[in-house]
Amino acid sequence: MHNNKVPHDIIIEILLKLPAKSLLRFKGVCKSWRSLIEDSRFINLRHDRCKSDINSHKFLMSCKKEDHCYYYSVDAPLQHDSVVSLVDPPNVVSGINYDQLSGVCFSSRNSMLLLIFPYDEVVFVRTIMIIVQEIQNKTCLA
Amino acid sequence: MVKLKSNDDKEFEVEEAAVIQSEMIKNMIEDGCATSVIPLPNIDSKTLIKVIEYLNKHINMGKAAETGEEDDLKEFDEQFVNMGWEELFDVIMAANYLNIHELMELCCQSAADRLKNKSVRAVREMLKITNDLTEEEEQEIINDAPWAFEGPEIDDTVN
Repeated sequence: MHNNKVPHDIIIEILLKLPAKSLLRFKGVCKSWRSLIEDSRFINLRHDRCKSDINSHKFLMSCKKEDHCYYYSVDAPLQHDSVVSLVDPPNVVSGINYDQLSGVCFSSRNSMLLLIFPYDEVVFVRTIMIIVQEIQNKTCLA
Repeated sequence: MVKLKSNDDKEFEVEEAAVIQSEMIKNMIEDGCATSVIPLPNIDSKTLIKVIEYLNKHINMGKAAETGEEDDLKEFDEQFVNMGWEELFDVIMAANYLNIHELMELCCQSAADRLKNKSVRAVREMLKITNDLTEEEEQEIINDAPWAFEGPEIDDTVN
């Protein structure tokens, strides 16, 4: 590279290979990175590529204790050392009272989020990029 | 055999089976434009040697699965990207110019792996990017996802 700027198409190729957490941080690198990372074409392209990579898939699970619902994200190819993270509720649909949810299921293959409410209400949502905050990491032990 | 010439006037002979992994050169050969030496004005000899090393190793990639050489190739790839940051970008630029898809994927993945846990400051320095965001804009990006800026893995060192 030697003092030359890296061409934009190469930057895109590299950014497409980064996890969501890095991308959210790197929006703060400069204006052009911010517009690229927020661009829906970039998000869709990244999603299409991640889809075929089994190692980037995750489960989203919910667990109700008393009146509070806890959410966990788990690496999808479930192994003895899969990481389980306690996460904030998926912040993708406004106006939903997450405490009323009786279950949630997420398929990272096609980004469908299934929200199940008591009795007869079921909501399917397609999300482009699920962003959940990792609160705590735990490793499953077999 | 196909002859390639780097921008510092060094010539290299490469087997056709190896060199056609470059879409650009493959097209030149198909169009009959590769009869003598192919000049590569964007690539220096040091980088070209690395690229040819890769092409020669991956010459029979299709057959690797049958002969059980996959692990060997994987190990070669791991060793191959074990190079300096500047050198890695020279190879990426060459792979992009020559249109060698697999080499581009390999090197961009290595660059992404090295950048993944870096701080914003370190990324700017590594890629020679000038920050043109205002302080307010920067703060807004942090406020949107403060957790993305926190964590024991975040590394502020450059390299």
